[in-house]
Amino acid sequence: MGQTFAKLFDRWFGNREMRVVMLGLDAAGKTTILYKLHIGEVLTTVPTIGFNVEKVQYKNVVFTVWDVGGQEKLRPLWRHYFNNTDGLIFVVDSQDRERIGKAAAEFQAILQDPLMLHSAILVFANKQDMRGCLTPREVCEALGLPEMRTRKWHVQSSVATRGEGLYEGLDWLANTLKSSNAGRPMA
Amino acid sequence: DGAAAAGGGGSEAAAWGTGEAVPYRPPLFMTAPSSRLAAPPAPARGAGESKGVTFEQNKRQLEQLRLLTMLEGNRTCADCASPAAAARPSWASINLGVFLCMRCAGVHRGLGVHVSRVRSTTLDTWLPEQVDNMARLGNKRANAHFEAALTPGVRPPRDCTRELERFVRLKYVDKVWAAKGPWPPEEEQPPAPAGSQGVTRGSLPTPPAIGLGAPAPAASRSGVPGGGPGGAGGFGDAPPAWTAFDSLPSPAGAAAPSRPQPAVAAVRLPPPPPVDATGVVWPPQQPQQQQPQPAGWAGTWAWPGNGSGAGRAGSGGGGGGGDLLLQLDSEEDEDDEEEGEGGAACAGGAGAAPPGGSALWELLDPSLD
Repeated sequence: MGQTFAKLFDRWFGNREMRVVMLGLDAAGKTTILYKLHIGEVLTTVPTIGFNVEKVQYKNVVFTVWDVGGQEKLRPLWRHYFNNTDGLIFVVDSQDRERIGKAAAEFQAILQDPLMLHSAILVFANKQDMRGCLTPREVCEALGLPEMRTRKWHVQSSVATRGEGLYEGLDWLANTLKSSNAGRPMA
Repeated sequence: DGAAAAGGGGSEAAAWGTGEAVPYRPPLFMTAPSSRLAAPPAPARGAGESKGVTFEQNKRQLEQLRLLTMLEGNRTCADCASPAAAARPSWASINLGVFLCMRCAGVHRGLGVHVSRVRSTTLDTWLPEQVDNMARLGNKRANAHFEAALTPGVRPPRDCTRELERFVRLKYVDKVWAAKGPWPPEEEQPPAPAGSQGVTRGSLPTPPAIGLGAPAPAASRSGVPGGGPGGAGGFGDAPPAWTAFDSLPSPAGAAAPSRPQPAVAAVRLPPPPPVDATGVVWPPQQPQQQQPQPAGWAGTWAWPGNGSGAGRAGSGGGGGGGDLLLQLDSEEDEDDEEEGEGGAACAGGAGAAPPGGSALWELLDPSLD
């Protein structure tokens, strides 16, 4: 009974569900972002072998965020998470200039997957508090986003350990979802 | 209950069926097989990072790393030294040359790549130079350097991640206990005496030949083009200019190569003097300590008081402040919009001196716990 009311309530107030997969090279900050959004705390994380998944409510959107490990041998497994995703969050360690090329190669590989053709793309240029880091514009250019005219993308600077920029990014995702009518109503 | 669940399912299906706005997405097994199978095979991996290291080559290197982690000294984590079987090192910092357990690897990843570059010894692709470097350095040698002035036995409690994090920061970022001299030491140095990690590449047990016709490493390495898109090579390459801020040792250590680095002798060295050059003593209420008091982790933990980390973090935040405002969007490609609230938050972060440092301080504050 209560369940039924909850469902009705959700439908009236237009809660939406959005499935998001969060990818990026290892040590980019994916798990830190996930738990900063989920419980609002900065955890000392260990490298993710496998994945973490949490629900994050922001405004009237419930994001189901899948955070998949980014070690090199785990990257071929990413594509198994692509089905039915509404959005991609790609996290970049802006300080790691040496591996930005590698990040771009992996990013392009994701975008060429047929299952990801319609997903919105949110890039977190993370670790902006570190000195010598790439600016969001540099990250944007390194990833080859300016040439990407057919996709909806957004580069957001962020500092996951302070929570800066994370909700701004979700804001963009939620608005993109609204305008494109992606996502489904809460069951 | 069962009926309610079924009803819920039915209404859901109805909503999905009728809602024009909501596109129905069939599950994967219901889509046409051609659309799935026509997908290109897994895209070529290893474009930038692995730099042409073949699968077979990497397999051999991971085998070498496995043998390295079985050596005495590398068998336990360089930082927590936990004897637990679960804490056997399977991670490494390729620039510091230490083998780490998973938890300490997590702590190292939080330090930033200018301090530590963490790789898995089982899940990553390694360059031959990186493996050589791990063989050359290793836990014993690295700890002889980074814990030169640390009283043996002073270690953070293994079950307290926070203490461990503080310890690792003091050890590698502030270099409280480090001996003088550059780290990693110069290439042309003679191999360290027997006390330390005297393993060279040649003396490694050769791994069994894997597969048929595995190419000789040297031959295939010579065919490798000069590096990734960034042009940055492996470990041996010159670091980019921005790393020169602090992670490189002080020029005072330039005389170090003349001094042999026996692991045992280094222990007697006094700790490096507190950093006065920065002139930043922050937080001011902390008295400057000449030496950390390794009286035990449960008791008082002397703050080294050089405050250089705080100063650096503050300045770093200031430098990045302008860029934080930059928002790039696909709709408005060319103009940088500044959002009001985000800008205000960033300006606050960049303007005041300590906020970058305050996070650091909170992390390191001995009074917190």
